[in-house]
Parts: sequence; C-alpha cells; structure tokens
Amino acid sequence: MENMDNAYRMRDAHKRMKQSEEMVHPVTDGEMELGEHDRTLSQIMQDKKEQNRFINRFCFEKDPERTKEIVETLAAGTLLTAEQDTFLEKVHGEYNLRRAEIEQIREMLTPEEMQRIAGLDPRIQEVMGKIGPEKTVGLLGKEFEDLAMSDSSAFKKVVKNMRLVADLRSNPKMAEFNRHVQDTLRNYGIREEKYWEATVSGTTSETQGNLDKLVKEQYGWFKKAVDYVSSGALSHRGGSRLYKNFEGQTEALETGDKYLKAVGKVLQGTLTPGVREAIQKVMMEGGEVKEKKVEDNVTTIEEYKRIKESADLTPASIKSRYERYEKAELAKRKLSIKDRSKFRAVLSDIEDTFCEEETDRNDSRKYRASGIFGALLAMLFGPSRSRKEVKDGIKSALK
Amino acid sequence: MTREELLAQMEKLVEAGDTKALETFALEHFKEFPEEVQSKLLFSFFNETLEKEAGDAQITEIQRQGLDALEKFSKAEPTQE
Repeated sequence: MENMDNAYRMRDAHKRMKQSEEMVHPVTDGEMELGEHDRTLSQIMQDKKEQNRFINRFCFEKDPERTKEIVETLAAGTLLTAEQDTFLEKVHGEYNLRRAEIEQIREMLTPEEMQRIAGLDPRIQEVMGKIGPEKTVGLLGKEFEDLAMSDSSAFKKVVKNMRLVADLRSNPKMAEFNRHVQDTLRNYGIREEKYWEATVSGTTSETQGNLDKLVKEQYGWFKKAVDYVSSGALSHRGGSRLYKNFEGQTEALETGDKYLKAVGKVLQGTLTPGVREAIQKVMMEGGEVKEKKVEDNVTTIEEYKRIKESADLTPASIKSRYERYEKAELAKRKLSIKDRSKFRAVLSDIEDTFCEEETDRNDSRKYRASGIFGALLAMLFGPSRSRKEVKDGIKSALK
Repeated sequence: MTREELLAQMEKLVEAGDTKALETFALEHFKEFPEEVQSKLLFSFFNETLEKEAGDAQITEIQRQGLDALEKFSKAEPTQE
C-alpha cells in the first residue's frame, strides 16, 4: 500500500514537473502559472459557460466527431464511456494551459500597445477613433480568446508572429540593420541591384513568378552559406583540413565564392521592396508553423457566395436542396422516385443524413475566413445557435 | 442600419465583386455592427499589421545572419598544414 502511495506521489510530482516545464509565457518565454485556470474537469463541467467553451469550442476543434458523441451523451443524461472520459481528461489539461496563455496575451494588449499598432495601420486608427482604445482592446481580446479556443493552428501562428515582433523590439540595434547592410555591402564592393532589378522591373505575373523562383533559389544558397560558416568549416582547424591540398583549396575557394555571392545577393534583396516581400513569402512557406489545411477556407468572394448558397436556411431553399438530394440518393440506390411512397424507411434514412449534413454545413465553426470575409460570415450566420436548434429548424422546414 | 440592412448592403458589394469597397463600408459603419462582427473585423486588421511587422522581423534576422556570415568569410584565410 505504501509502495502504491509512493508511486502515486512520484507520478503526481512528475506530472507537476512536466507541467511546469511546459508552462512558459507564449510570447516572452518567461515564467507562467496556471493560477485560477488550474481547474479540474468537474469544475469546468459544473460551470455552464466554461463547459460550453470547453466542449463546444476547444474539444470540437480537437475532434469534432468524438465531441458530437459526447454532446449527445451528455444531453441524453447517460454515462460517458471510458474512452470519452480519457479524451476529456487529456484535453482539459491543454484547455487550462491555453486559458492561461490567453490571459498572458490579453495582458500584453494594453491601450498603449494598441496606440502603437494603430500608428502602423490607418484602419485600426479609424476604429480606435470611433470606439476608443479601451473598447478596442476588449474586442481584440475577445477575438483572441475565440481563436485560441477554436483554431489552434491559427492561434499559434499569431503567437509566433508576436514573438518575432517582440524579439525585434527588444533589440533596438536590429532596427538599424538596413543602414548597416547598405554600408557593409558598399564596403565589400557588392553591388547586386541590377540582378534583382532585372527581375522586378515592370512586374507582371511572369516576372513575379521568376522573382519568386529566383528568391527561393538564392535563399536556399543563403541558408547553405550560413550553415557553412556556422559549421566551423572556416575556422582555423576546419580551414586547415579544407586547404590541405590544391584540389581542396580550389574547391573551397569556389564554394566560398558561391556562398559569398549568395549572401550578398540576399542581403541586397532585403533592401529592395519587391524582393523583400518575396523573401518573406519564401520564409513563411518554409516556416515551422504550418497552417492547418481547411477545405472550407473563405478568402474570396466566390468562396463566400458558395457558402452562402449552401447555408441558406429559408424553408424554400432547404426544400429545394432536399429534393435534389433525395433524387440523387434514390438514383444511387436504383430506386424510382415515382414509387417513393413504398420506401418509407429508406426515405427516413435519407432525410436523417440530409439533416445531419445540412447542420454540418451551417456550423460556422467549420469555416476559416480571413479579412473582411470573417465579418461577412459572422453576419451571415448570425449569433451562434446550438446544433440541435439548427437541426430542428431544418427538420421542420421539410415537414 | 439594422443587421439585415447592413448584410443586404454588403451583399450588393459582394455581387459587384468589390472587396475594397466592402472593407470601406464596414469601416464607415463599424459602430452599427454587432460586437462579434466588430471583433472579427478589428482582429483581421490587427493580424495583417502583425504579419507585416513579423515579416520585417524575419528580414532583420536574415540581415543579422548575412552580416555575420560576411564577416566570417572575410576573416577566413586559407592556411596550410
């Protein structure tokens, strides 16, 4: 028994140690504590608002199908399966951590910080002029929370960008790097403007394509050059090894020359606006945080129109979509629509599947919209409704 | 304007295919939108600005690495064993 207690104590201590290792400020890497967010699963489930946020946002994003089952189990008042319990227990730890992270980020979004950001974007300036800095901070914090709960990969991407900006701002010397690069290139007699100008001038999709290709290629060489110098190949011992015979010497000089040119070209490119953008694009594509591929991304007017058509919940539209759906499903089963009254059970199945699919399509959580399209979708879907409410609405339209 | 009227106006701009006009309209009528829409709009502006700033930070990091590499290249002298 004593052995068991010891084992449990060791497990808990190990768990706490692991948790504290993971608990760092998402942007600054400083210390962070769970504080009031250190909640047990039962505390979360007893608080309606918290339960809704945990189940319908956080768990849904992790595993939509399993979460739907859990919602149904809870609604029916039956016991959760062991598998469902394990899932909730695992996700609840991540949930507490995410809640603590959001709090840290919200603390960073002060009215002063918003004033600084507004200085970089006239649209934010205009919004702040209309509603004031306090309300601006409040709205942004809410949206951050929503993102953190419902789209982990997008949240991580924003946090990664915040880290990059924080690093840059913590090193004032780095702000002067453009001038430093200019001086250095001049001192080394490196003049690559013509190289990039030839690609950028009179930008068309073809020259842009060429530029992207060239930047990718040069950035690849640049990275090899940086790895080459940091590998110690240029150190005294490394150099000695490289230059010990004539062939090695020639090869090393050629390699060094190629790398030196690549570094010069990329550095010069960082001072050329078009090339600068292309370099950023290449870096984003090769970044550590990959954006989750979502089928239902909404970034164009055409994508919005497609969703609007399929999400039209007026009874006439639902009926019309159902008629097309039923016809196609009966054809799949090689049944004639003329004899539809004979297949009541089949029709009931078709109707159930249709309602389920329509409910999915009307779930705003499945769409990822950016820019103005996020606002448009929020207008289209309106205040969030439960799946049951949406499903019941669809069912009653078919009666 | 009511929510329906705002959406109807936005739909007209969608039909015209004018994304820029959509954004201008949303900014002009910002206070009339429900809060959940206001926060989405504001966040999209914030995110674009942040992405630009982060892009600049990445470029600065490249510059730092590049300058460091140039310095090391310039100091490297072939030596015989």
